[in-house]
Amino acid sequence: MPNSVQQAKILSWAIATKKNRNFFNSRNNALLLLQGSKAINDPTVAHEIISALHNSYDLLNNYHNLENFVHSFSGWILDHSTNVIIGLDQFEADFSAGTTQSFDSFYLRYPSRRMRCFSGEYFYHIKSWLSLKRDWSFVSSLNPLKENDALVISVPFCDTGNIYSNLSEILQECCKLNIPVLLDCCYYTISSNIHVDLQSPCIDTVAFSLSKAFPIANLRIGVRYTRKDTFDGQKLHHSINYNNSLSAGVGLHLIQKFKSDYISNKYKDKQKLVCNTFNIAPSNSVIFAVGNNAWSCYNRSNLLKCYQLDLDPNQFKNRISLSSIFDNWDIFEKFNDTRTTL
Amino acid sequence: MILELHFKNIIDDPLCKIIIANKELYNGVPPSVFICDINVDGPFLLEICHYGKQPTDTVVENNVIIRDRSFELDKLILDSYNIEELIWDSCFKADDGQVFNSCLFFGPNGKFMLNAESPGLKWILQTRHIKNNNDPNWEEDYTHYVEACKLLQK
Repeated sequence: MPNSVQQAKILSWAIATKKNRNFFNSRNNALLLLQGSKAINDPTVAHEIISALHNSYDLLNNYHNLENFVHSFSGWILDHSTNVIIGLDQFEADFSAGTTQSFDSFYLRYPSRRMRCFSGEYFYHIKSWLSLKRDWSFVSSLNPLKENDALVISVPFCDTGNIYSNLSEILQECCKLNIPVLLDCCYYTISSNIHVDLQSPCIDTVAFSLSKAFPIANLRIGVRYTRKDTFDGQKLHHSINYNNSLSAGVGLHLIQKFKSDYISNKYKDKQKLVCNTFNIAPSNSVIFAVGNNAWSCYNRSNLLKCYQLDLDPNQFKNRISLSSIFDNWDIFEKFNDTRTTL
Repeated sequence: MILELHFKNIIDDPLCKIIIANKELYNGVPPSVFICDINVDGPFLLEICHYGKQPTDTVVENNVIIRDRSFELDKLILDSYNIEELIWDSCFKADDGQVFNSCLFFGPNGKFMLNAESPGLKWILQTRHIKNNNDPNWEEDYTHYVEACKLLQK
């Protein structure tokens, strides 16, 4: 009987081959299906997106969507059955094109600081810092945080979908060293059982996105929280409603229809079943699981190539994306029924 | 295995026989597309014999051939996979004993020969890797693909 990794490969081949039986067309898809972080194509959500976009012209021309979306977002994100956020009220919200615009704004506001992140962080930061010729490095015991650094950390953490192991100590250290911190919370809306304390004064920016919860990543819908005295280009655009009101309108529609724990609650049992099947560890973020060294074929080497980054992929966890399995549950069930005979 | 042969530039009704593993599958003027489903497993020899051409079928004026009964093999598809560059691993052995490697033109009477295998996809992947040493995972991927197809058929 094939081992767990081989079985996962057969499943991903089956999903890739479902739409197109051609070996060569399926090959790249089969490799990439269990990687990345694409949102689940939940049919109920998809129906609501279609419904929202039906009035796309009205959405495009209604700038109140921007105000209403950002105004409604805090209540939506805080209303979660298993997650807790403390201290969001100490920040002011504005619209963000995904979390990415918030990252760019953070880099711009701290041009003379050395940018820092932990190994396993979202590659966009590294790519941006390299292309901007910014001073940057991974935080490690040999290369700890120092004054005049600026830190970016994802919550839940990009490499695993879980909270970084000593986040509260890291934030304490940042407070001590007067280091501004950006918390990238893009996985928050697909996570469960996490606690985020935003009361540390070092926290400069908290960025959320709808791209991981709902299949609308290309609409770039996010909300950024900054301190009340921050007034940068992004906040300027927010203050004059010079943002994508179509995206905000779709975002508003979705947060009115679905709670912030909708995806994690709906798919957590499926996540457990897939993880049991392949003997991989479920993440706090429902679309992920973490595999041991045997799962290195699903490390981020392909993503590194895509970003043209020369980093050792073995320093990152083997984070497996389950979204495509959830999207093709009929194939997974068939696979599960027959895998003992494989 | 489903074999598809595409012919082009078929001039003056030449005659051919298509033979796989010593079994004659076709005899007549080459069609633009010949398709057959044959039960063959493992290595086989594909032969396309050009026959019946007479010296009068080649018209020469001022030492220039102005008309010639002939045809060309354009492409070969095994189990819906075009073998592409592997078609050049063939040879044409003319009845007069001359051998032309990588020749898809059927001018003189003679026999085109290509060694291949069924399943076609497995042979294509394996042969490409042997020639180019650039696809070390071909066998694993092929195995997973076959298992995936079986799963989808259940």
